[in-house]
Amino acid sequence: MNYTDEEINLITLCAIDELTYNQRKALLSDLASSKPDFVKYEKSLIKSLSHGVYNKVKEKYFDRGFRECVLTDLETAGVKCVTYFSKHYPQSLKNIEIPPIVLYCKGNIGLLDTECFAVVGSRRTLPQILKECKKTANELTQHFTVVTGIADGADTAAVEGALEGGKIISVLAYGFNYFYPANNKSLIKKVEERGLVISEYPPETPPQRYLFPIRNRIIAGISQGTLTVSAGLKSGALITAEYAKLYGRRLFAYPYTIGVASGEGCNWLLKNGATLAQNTLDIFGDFGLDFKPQEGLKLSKEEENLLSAIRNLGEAFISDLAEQLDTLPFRIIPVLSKLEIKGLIVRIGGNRYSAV
Amino acid sequence: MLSKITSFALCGLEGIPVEVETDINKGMVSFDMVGLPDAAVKESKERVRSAIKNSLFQFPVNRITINLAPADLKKEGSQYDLPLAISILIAANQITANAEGTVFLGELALDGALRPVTGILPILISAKAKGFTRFIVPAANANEASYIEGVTVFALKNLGEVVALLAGESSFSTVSSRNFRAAASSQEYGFDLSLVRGQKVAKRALEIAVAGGHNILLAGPPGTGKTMLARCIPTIMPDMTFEEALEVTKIHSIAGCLMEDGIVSLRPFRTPHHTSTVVALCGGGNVKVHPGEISMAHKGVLFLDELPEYTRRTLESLRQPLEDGVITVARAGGAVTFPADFMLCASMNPCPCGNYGSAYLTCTCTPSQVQKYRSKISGPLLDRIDLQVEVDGVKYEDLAGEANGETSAEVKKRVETARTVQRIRFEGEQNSVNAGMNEKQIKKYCRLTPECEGILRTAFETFHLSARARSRIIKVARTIADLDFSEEIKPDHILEAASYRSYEVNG
Repeated sequence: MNYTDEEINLITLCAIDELTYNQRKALLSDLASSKPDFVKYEKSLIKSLSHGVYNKVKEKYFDRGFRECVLTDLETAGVKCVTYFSKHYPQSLKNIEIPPIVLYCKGNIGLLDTECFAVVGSRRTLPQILKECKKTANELTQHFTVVTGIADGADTAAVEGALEGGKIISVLAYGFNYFYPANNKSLIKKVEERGLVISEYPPETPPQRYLFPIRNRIIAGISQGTLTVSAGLKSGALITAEYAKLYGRRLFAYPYTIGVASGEGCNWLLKNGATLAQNTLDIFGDFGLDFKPQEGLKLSKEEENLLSAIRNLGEAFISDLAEQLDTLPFRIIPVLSKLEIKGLIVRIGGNRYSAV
Repeated sequence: MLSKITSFALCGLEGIPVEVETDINKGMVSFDMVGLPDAAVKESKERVRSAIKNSLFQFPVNRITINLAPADLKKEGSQYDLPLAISILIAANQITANAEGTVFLGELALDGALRPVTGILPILISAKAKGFTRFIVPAANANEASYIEGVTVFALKNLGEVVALLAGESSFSTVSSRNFRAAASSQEYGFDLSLVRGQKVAKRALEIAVAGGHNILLAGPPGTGKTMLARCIPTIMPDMTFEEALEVTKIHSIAGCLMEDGIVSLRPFRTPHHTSTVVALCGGGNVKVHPGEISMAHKGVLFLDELPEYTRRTLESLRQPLEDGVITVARAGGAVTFPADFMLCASMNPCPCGNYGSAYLTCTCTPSQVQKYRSKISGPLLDRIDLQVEVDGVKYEDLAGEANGETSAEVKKRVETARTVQRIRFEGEQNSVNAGMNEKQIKKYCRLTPECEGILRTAFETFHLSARARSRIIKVARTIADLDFSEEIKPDHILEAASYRSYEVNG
C-alpha cells in the first residue's frame, strides 16, 4: 500500500510505543498537522518521559531504518493503515473528542466509507436474544454496515448475522498479533476475509482490560446509531451507549421484562431517552429508511398451535407445553425440532424453549 | 511316596488345571514349594501345617517337596491350601484315597476349616469344558457352584470332612443344582421410574437409550434427579438371560464380590468415583490382572457421575471398550481379555456453577468458563454417546404431588418389544441392538425417504452438525421407530432424534 509522507509520519509516531495517546496528540498540536513539533513540546515531554526516553523517542522518529522497518512489518502482516489524513478515514470519527490517529485495518477498507450502525451487547445474553440479535444484524445490512466488537455472546451473534453480506466492521481493542477471546480466532479470520477488522493499536499491542472501554468510543463514534441488545447495569455495552449519546448519535435498545439481569441496562437506557427497538423496522423507521421484511414461513396447524402456546408462556418447559396441549412430551418434541430448525424458537437450556 | 492332586488356576476368566505333586523323602526336615507360587501361595505352607495338626493328623517330619505344574504358570490365590493339605496327607500315607479326577479348591483356616475362595464359577465352567466333573469346594461357595449342571460338587466345612469323604463315607450330599429363574425373581432393584417426579423428557430419553442400547448423557443443574434417573436404568432393561448372568457372575466371582446368592441376576450398576484411575476403570494389576469397573458393569450400566471431573486420560481409555465391548489388559506377564459390554450413562452439570439454563437460578459463569467446562469431554467420546439430554429443573408441584408416573415394569415391556424387533433384524450379525450398527448396516436398515433426508439436511445446516452426529441421529431415529412399531423411519422420528443433541460440540 502506498502512503503519503504525511501518513508515514503518523504511522511512525503511532509505532513508538513509549508514547501515550495524549503525548502523540500534543506533538501533533491537535492533529492539525502531520509533523510532530518536538521543539515546542520538549520541556513537557522530558518532564513526563525522562531525558533518556525522550531522546530515544526522538531518535526513533527520525531514524529512516525504523520507519522502513515499521512499514515493511505492517506490509508483511497484511495490515493496511488508514490515518487521520487518508481519504477513507470516516468523517464521523473526526467528530469525536479523541479520534484515533491511525486505524490499523485488515479486510475491505471500502466499508469505512459506508454508513455504519453499531450493535452491542453483553457476553451473557439470553439465547433467544442472541437469535434476535443475529436476525436484526442481518436485516440492518439492508442499509448499514454493522459495527461491533468481537467478544462472546451478543457481539458474536451480530457478526454472524451480518457476515453473510460482508457488511461488518469489527473493532478490536488490541493489536492484530493477538486473538481474544482465543476461541473467536476463526470468526476474526472470517471477518477479515469478508468484512473489515480495525484497531487503533499497532499489531504488537496485547489485550488489556482497560483498552476495551476505550475501544468502545470508536464503535459508537463510527456509527450513525447504536443498538444495545443486552446490557447489565455495569457493562461495556452501556459504556458504548454512553459514548453514542455523548456524540449525539441515535440510541436504540431492546426492551426487557422485569428481573433479567442482562436487560437492566437496556431498560435503564430506555428510561433515559433511548428509542425502543423491538425490531429492525423501529430502527429504519427512525432514520426514515424503508424496510423489506423477509417472507413469513408457512406453518402447519400444529406448529402454529405450539408456537402460540410458547408465546403465551414466554419461556416454556417441554412438559408444561405438553400438559397445555393435552399430549405427551415426546409427541411435541418433533414439532419443537421443526420450529427450531425454522428459527422460530430457541432452546434456552433445561428443556425449555422460548420464541424469538 | 508321591501323590498328585488336581486344582485350578485362573488366567483372566479362563481356568487352567494345576497339578499339585507332593513327594516326601527322608533327609533334612524341610518344606519346599516350586512352580512359581506367589506370596499367598507360599504362605499357605503355614496354614497347611497348622490345619493338618489341628485336624488331628500328623504333619510329616521329613523332606517335603511340592511342585505346582505347569511350572511356568504363575500361581496366585489361596485356593491351593486344600489340595496341598490333601496331597501331603496322601503322600505321607496317613490317608488312602482315590482323588483322581477330583478338583480340589479351598483355603484353610488354622483350625482346619474351609474358607471360601474367589473365582469358583469361572473355574467350574472351564473345568467342566475340560472334562472334570467332580469338585470339592468350601461350603461357603456352595451357592455359586449350584448353577452349573452336570457336575458333582461337594461343599464341605473342613479338612476332616474332606478326608472322610475321600475315605468313602457316603453321608455327604452333593450340591443340588438350582434354578436360575427362582433365584432371579427373589432379587429386586429397589428403584422405580414411578418414584422419579416430573422429568418426562428425560424418562423418554432413557427409554429410547435402553431400547436401542445407546449411551446417554444427562445434563442438568445439581439436585434435579440425574442420579436417581440413572439408577432406574437397570430396572427398565430386559431381564438377564442365564447365559448373561453366568458371564457377569464369572467376572464378579474373580473380583471376589459375589453376594450370598452366588449369582448376579440383576443388571450391575457401577458408579466409580471420579478420582478413579485408568487401572481401576479398565482393569489391571501387577501380577494378577483384576477386572476393572467397566468389566464389572458388563451387561449392565456404568454410571459416571460428574463426567467433566474425571481426568481426560481416564475418559479416553473408555473409547475402545465402548466400541468393541471387550477390554484387553496387557501386562508383562501376558494379556488378559475381559468382557466389557456395558451401557454408559454419564451425568454432568451444564456449567461450573451448575445453574446455566436454569429457570429459577442465575448462572454466574462467563461463556468461556462454560465452554471450557464442556470441552473437558472430548469430541470422540461425546460421539459415542448417542443421546444427550437435559434434565428439567424440579418444580415444587412435582415434588409435592402424588407420584403417578409410569412404573418401570410398563416401560420395560415396551423396551423388550423393541429389543425383540432388533433381535430379528440383526439375526446372524454381530450386534443385537441399534446402537451397534456400522455405516454399512445403517445404509441397509435405515433407509430414509426423501422427506426425511430433507429434514436431516436442514437440521444439519441449522445446527452445524458433524458427520458423526448424522449417523447418531439416524441410529436413534431407528430406535424411536422401533418403539413406535414402524417399519420405516418417519420424519417425526428424525426430528425427535435430532432434539437429543443438546451438548453437540458445534451446536
